[in-house]
Amino acid sequence: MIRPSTKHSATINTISISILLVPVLLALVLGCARTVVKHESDNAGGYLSPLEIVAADGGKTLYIAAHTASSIIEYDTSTKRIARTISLPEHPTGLALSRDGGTLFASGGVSDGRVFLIDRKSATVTGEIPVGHTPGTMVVSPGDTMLYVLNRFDNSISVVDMRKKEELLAAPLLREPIAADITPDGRYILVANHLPSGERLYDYVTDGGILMIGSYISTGYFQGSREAYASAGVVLVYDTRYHRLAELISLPNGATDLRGLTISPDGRYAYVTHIIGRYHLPTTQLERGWVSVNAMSIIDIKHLELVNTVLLDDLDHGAANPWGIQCTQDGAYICITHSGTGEVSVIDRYALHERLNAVARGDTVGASTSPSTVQTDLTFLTGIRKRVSLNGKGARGIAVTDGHVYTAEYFSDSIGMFAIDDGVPGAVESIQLGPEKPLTAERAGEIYFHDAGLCFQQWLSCATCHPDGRADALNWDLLNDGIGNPKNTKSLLYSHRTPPVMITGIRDRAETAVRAGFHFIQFTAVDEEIACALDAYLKSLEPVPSPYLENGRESAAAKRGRKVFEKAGCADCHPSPLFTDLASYDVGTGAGVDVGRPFDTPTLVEIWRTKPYLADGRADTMYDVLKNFNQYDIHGFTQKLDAEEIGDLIEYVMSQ
Amino acid sequence: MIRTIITSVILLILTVSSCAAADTSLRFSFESGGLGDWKIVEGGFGEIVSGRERYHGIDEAYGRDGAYFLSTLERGDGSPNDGFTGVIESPVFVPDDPDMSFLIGGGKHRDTYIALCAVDGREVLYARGSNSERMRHVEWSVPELVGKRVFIRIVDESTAGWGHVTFDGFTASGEIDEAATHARFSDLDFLRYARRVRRMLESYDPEALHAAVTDLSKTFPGEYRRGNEYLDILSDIEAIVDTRSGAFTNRDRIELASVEDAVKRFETLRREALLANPLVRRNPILFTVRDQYLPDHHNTATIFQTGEVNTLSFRGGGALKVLYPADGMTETLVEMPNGNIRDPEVDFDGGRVVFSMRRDIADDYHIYEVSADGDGFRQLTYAAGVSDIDPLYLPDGSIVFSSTREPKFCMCNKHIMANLFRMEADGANIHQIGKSTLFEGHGTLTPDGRVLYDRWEYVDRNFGDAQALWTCNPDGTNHALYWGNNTNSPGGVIDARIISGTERAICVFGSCHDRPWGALAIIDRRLGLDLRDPVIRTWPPEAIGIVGHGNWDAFLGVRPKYEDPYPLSDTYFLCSRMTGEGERMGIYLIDTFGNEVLLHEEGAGCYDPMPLSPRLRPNVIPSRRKFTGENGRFYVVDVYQGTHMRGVEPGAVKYLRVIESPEKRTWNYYAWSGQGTLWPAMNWHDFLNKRILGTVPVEDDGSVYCELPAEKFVYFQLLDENGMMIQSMRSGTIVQPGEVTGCIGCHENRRTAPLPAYTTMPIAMEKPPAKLTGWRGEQRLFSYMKEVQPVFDRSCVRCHDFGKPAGDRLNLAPDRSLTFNTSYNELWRKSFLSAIGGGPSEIQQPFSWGSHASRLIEVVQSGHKGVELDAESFDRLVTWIDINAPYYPVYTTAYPDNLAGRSPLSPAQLARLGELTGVPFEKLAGHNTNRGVQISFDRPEASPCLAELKENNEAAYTEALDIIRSGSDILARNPRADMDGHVPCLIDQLRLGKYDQRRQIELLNRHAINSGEKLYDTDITNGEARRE
Repeated sequence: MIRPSTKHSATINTISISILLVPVLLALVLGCARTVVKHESDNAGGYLSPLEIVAADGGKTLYIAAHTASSIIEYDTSTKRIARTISLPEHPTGLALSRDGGTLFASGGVSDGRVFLIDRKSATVTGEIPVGHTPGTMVVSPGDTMLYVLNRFDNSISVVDMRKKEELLAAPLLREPIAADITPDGRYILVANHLPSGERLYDYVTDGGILMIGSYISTGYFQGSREAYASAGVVLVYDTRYHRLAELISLPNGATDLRGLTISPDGRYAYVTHIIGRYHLPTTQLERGWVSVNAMSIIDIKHLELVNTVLLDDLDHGAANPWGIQCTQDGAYICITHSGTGEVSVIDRYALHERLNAVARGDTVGASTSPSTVQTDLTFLTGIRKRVSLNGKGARGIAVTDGHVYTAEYFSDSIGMFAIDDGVPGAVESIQLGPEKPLTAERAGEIYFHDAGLCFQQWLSCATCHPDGRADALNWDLLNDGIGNPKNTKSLLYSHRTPPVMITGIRDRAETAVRAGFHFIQFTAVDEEIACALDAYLKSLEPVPSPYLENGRESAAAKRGRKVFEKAGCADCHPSPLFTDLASYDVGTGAGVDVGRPFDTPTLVEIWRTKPYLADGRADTMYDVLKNFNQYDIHGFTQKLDAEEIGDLIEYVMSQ
Repeated sequence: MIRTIITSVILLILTVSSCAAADTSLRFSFESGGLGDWKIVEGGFGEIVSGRERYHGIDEAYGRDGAYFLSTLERGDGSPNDGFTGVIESPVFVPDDPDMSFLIGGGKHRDTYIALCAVDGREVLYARGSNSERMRHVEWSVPELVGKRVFIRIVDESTAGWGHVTFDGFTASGEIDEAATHARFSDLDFLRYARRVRRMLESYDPEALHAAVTDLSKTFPGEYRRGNEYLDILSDIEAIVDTRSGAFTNRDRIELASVEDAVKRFETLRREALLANPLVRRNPILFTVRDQYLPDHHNTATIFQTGEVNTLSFRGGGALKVLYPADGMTETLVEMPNGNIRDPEVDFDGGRVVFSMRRDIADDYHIYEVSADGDGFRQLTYAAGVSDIDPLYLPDGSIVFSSTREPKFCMCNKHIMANLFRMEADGANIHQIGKSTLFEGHGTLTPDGRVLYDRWEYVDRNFGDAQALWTCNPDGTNHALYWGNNTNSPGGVIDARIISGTERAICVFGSCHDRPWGALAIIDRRLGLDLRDPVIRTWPPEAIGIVGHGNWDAFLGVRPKYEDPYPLSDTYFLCSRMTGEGERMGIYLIDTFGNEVLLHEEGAGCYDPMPLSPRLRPNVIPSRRKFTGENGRFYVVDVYQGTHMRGVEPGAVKYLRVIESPEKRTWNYYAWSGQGTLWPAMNWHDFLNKRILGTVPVEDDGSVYCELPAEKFVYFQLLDENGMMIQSMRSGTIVQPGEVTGCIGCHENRRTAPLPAYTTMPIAMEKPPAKLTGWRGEQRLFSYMKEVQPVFDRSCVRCHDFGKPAGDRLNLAPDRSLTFNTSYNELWRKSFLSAIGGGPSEIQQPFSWGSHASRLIEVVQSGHKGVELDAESFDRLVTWIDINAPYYPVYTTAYPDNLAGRSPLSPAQLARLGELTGVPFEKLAGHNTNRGVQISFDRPEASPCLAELKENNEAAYTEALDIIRSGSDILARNPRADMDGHVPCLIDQLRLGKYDQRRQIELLNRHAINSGEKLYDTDITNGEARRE
């Protein structure tokens, strides 16, 4: 049994125990009722928004999760027709096929997350299994005995017994598990965590002394102390036999926005798509990946360790926002969708490993003179990767089968497809899955938000630092407040309702910041029409219900915490409902050149989602904010609160 | 291709063949004074057998064998003419020994050569001259041809410089085959016919055509429909050529005629099949008609601006035209019978063309615009006495162009240089965005909205190959190297365009001393930023072999020459290319399969082809600069990150020094010969004066953050704890006002992204930017006499002086001499410095030059004779050496008409002094001909050139001494630039005045930008805005 430090307890909510890995029996108590909360988007424009795609029958049948349409589209590639459409009560977020081919699993729901069981023959929903908060990716064990479901916002994995068709247990994972794959023997599930964890994982000890993990994984960068910091996304290895953490594999510092993970057909390697933020540099240019690069990390499954990380960008041409990833069945090629540039990368997998081996032997490959330089080499894939431009917009999910690549093109309501013939991509087709709908301003803005075509050299899109309109958990040294004083990325939720914006409040309102973002971060001048659409999209963002809520309501502790919130003076500056008075204060959190500088009061809505906290991201937890970084009670009167009051206060704040 | 392979085989043979003496029973040496049994089989020459002993122009011997030799250069009147062309052949002979040898001289062109041929005329082995009159000995060893019938063919088809062949002293062992010779020469008509067909076959490449047709069919299935038909015809042609190829040996005219006919059909087919390419056919093609520019000293010297050194080289007669590829018709948009039109560019809608035009020799180049239909002609720029060329449209409608509006000159000659400027769409608010010290030209827009341009600029390195591709943002920020700055050959990497949708560019690989043409090359910078690896292919294909070999002029001999490449796709390109008729250029369609098809030729030549069609408008890059303020900011994350930091321990770098290399604003007619020519003399070997702007700390983590003065061409050096240079940049950079920019490290690998986030922010950025406060006083131009000589005066001259034994070894006296002073001459000439001078193109390793490698510093540090320099003196010495040991602080001169532009003595005085002393003073005006100081103007009696006279010839001594004394007087009255009180000569003052006036105009334009106003060239007279 591994026991984490108590610091985790506050971050894991729906799982009411403060340990990372739980015994099977305890988990059985978790089948608690969940309140139905409608998803943020009610699909005003009638769009389909293909998000995920799986192929069945050797590629004859495709199932496409039409996210905003709350349906699954069954597409017949031989007739090139939509065969059937399966309606769901929720927006589907993930798809998986049973190994016997008989059942299609679709995940959906928010705090009422469920897996829908769909009989493929009849194309009907035959049942649903309640799981965690915002379930997404699912993996099926060999023999169809277990279904594993990643619950994104309660940071857990649901283990579903397929014989009983019920959740056996929900084991805690790290922050926002978003993609996973299972080893061919079924022993391990490798889980990609969307954002850097923000956990200080230095004191796990196994009960049998088998496992010692000393990784120090923090989003926070304590500017004042110059102590070592790191902020990296992690891949967590989940041992399905003992239902526990087998390994944590840190990606290079700055890795964030993990989106896709796949294991090669031979079971030897896992490949993960993500971004690497070069967040120690001022954002003075984008060339050569100065601000961020788009990457794929390679994990050796036998040794459960990172082999290396290769960059997917070209020297003068970014390959923004890598998302889905899958190998061809013969293992010869790795295919990756780039949602920001509307492309698929086709990488010669054997050649890739030959190059990695060569560098490991001491040879020079491209600009790589040693294994450690590979992750900075923008030419490592030159000659062994082809970039295929898709006709549709917003490529996300990917399915590769029988020499064909299929992608879910989220924004054009289409699927993209092309053949790979001996490594040579054939002609690209885009098949429209429904009638073209006129773009609402919100939808147009959402497209622009994810479109790296609006960025100089396509290095990034708005979504790079603001995935889903929120934050990437990194600090950035933007030039609007001087140099050498990086600030933690803010979520854009409610930014239009809570002017001024930016941590220093330097932009009078969000509209100004949207335009400045293009000018100073993406290095392009955009039309007012585009900027207005972005405003419309950002204004349409709705908060996701907090995983701290119980049955959609504040828990008893949270209710007590509301009083503490008043008593400690929090509500003076963070008054409900926006939880900000729109003013700036110096609460003693400025460091370096920012000492004494007032900062804009942020909203607390969705703060459960946006760690690390404070201007420079120094606080990994709300406890740190309230206690460790408020020694003189400048940021509320918290020092005299007892442990229970603090606990209640945290519970309240995190419920917003 | 076959020729290339054979040539390489020959090279191998030539290198391994021994010098074994063969039985020389066969000898062709033309000692009869005539051709003997050789024959001119094609063309015609002047005096084909020459008895000339010495070179034309230079007094050197040819090195001929005996009294006569064969030459395709000589006219009957004894003057040279490269214009002769033709072919000469020897009698047929049968060697009985593999070894042969001969002398060859003249050109090294593709079409000036000597070939050993099989009796059917097939050329087996080649030899060429080396662009030298001196005949060199060549040995061939051809065991496979022993006992076979062979003959020698001499080909001169070149009319260019070095377009001739000289040949003599052929020796081999064997016998002439009279019958075979008779048979060959008796049918000269057939031979000529066969050669003509063979030459046609040189461009017969059915595989290339097959590949292109296949590609076009696949790429444009809807538009390119006759592919299969073309391929059928092609296979018919191939069958004929393959089956009838025996005609050459069989001497079968009828068969040969069918080969000729097949090849003609091939050419027709090729033209039709390739011109059916929708990329060509869809749109009209814009082009210009003009003469090739006359040769000058450098590929940037094509402007021939009014009032400049080469104005008279301007040739008029130009037009801007449109070609309709579908029917070959053309249309004239603008025509200038006495003027010229150059550098057009089409706007994004395909509706307008911007170009540079000069109405006649008295006019200057200005920027103009015309609609694609020939209407809407308008002039955008008007400034007199400056040239505006190479315009390009930016996505926001404004226009970037190159201009001589900052009037300055190349440091190795006397020619006006140009920088990048930008203006609004209507010609308003022209302001400078490039500030490198020499030439910024051929700007094109990259698909990501930057300006790609070629830049010629050198800091502490040679002039010849320092021309590479750079990019900048349209507002003049972020100037960055694109490709080729450290490649020795080609000397000129110019005229580039990015191939859209790829990481590749197509450009001209040219030469320093040539017109802006040469080979074409596709480069992929993912594969490297220099040398051969990143070069994907060249036109002609064999030119790729010259990359990295030889020097900056290695591409001079490339034929044909290409210019103005324009990518239609990643496979098909338009360009201007030699048609084969002298220097005449036509418009060609070329592709990566190897096809080259002439689309159009007319008039003096055709240039600048590009589709007159809409194209993708890139995103607009917003401006990051200001037009007020004088500073930008610059950071280096970690100076230790770099490709050339071998042996530099972490923590070793303590300071970063910022040095300015100011532009050269004046010139005169008398040069010092350094690494190139310096008009006037500046330094012993390189070209620049220097201004130390300041030294800032490097933090423990290698980070630096400082203010930089905007628009100063600066470079950086890393210094150790003693202030000694560890590594130096040998190029320059600028920041714009308000720009914040930086580097990851020093000589960082530009193919890599920055390292993943460090665990800490760079220390330097946690403080305000460091300020540059000069060096030992305020920022000033570095004068050797002021900054360095006083150190020697204090500590060294009491021993190291004229007349002292130590002075014989190394004279450190301050005495001014003809060009420099005594100690400067001694230290450089005797290699005490290890400054790099006009160094090589390659990036150097740390510690490899400068004070760390200097003998002088080594001696000083070893406690030489108890001399202990104080810290300041030591700092002055190492700093001087590390900034490349310059001498003069300024480019202006008080003596424009005298030796090296620096001597106070007139040429007449110097000539007389030379007569008296026997010292050839003119010959000493160069770093490699100088024999040391001969004259002291400070102590005339100590002048070494007088030493012998004093003993032997008192009258001469007195006269010579008087001349030197008069020099001292002249210096006193009119101080030289190494003295206090120096006043530039009148012509310098005029040029300085023009510079200042242009600077005032620049400031007026910036003021207008800041005030939201519009200022045009026409609003300005005499450097002031006209107020109405």
